[in-house]
Amino acid sequence: MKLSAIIRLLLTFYKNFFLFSFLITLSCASLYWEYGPPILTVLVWFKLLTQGLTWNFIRTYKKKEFYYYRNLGLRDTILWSVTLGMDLSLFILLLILTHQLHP
Amino acid sequence: MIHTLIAKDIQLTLGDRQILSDTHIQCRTGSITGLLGRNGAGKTSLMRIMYGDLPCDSRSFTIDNIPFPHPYTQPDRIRYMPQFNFIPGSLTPERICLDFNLDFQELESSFPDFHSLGRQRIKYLSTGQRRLINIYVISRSRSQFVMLDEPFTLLSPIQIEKVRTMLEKEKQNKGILITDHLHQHIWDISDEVYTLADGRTRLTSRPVPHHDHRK
Repeated sequence: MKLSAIIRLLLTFYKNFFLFSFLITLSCASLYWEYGPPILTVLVWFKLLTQGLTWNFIRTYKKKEFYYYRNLGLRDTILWSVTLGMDLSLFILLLILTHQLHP
Repeated sequence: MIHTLIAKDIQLTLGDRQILSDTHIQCRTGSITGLLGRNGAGKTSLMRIMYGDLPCDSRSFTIDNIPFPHPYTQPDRIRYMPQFNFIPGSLTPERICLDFNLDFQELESSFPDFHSLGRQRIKYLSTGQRRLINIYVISRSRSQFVMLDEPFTLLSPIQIEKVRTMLEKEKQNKGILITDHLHQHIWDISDEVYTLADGRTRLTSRPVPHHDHRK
């Protein structure tokens, strides 16, 4: 399968929880803006916890759709590791930006 | 090229109940293999074990004598259509065809139901249309074998006829394993039929039609 097709499928899967996840990331960024580095550990754990909840929710309520990706050669582990990895990268990027922009 | 799929020695126990104990299924390129059995006999479990996504006690699955512990990672070898809609509802028929490397125009010409529905999200389509696109993408896409779990259920008689014609054509390029509760269609379309009962598969010949001699 072409790389562009794989990326398209990964983005389709990521769309399942992007909005929820992005709102969590934005909330974390705003808390970091307010309280600064002392709250970082709490925010990281909070983000990881919500990722775990997302994983459990999608695995339960969207389990039928995994056959779509399997039939196209994408294993569940690849779907999860790439999309959660992207989500975590976005979280880290936004926190770094918040840290740099904070006066 | 002719390919041969063999699934055997599959054992599955759920709690105290032995669901599958002595199974043997063989499927070849150019043939449709039917699988019949009562509700709860283990047909779906057997297909899922063959596909590799249901853990079991023991299993042997080979294609051309090469063992495949996780066939679901190789769609060029085998694809599986479960008995429910597995396509994300937000996708459109055009996008689905693109993902499976198929031409939407061909889908439209084979099944005019999809005329002007190319950009409609499939969650807004009828149950029959959704089922039809599930069957179409799995059976038409490039793969050595496909397994179809209850393809005729939820389809209208006209749609069933079209699907049967499509499968007859597709078997030239692949082996097809099919199960459904509409037994007549399975008998009509299959080159050989296995029945699954008491956890065992048996190659079965077509029942002799019953003639009523009463006057």
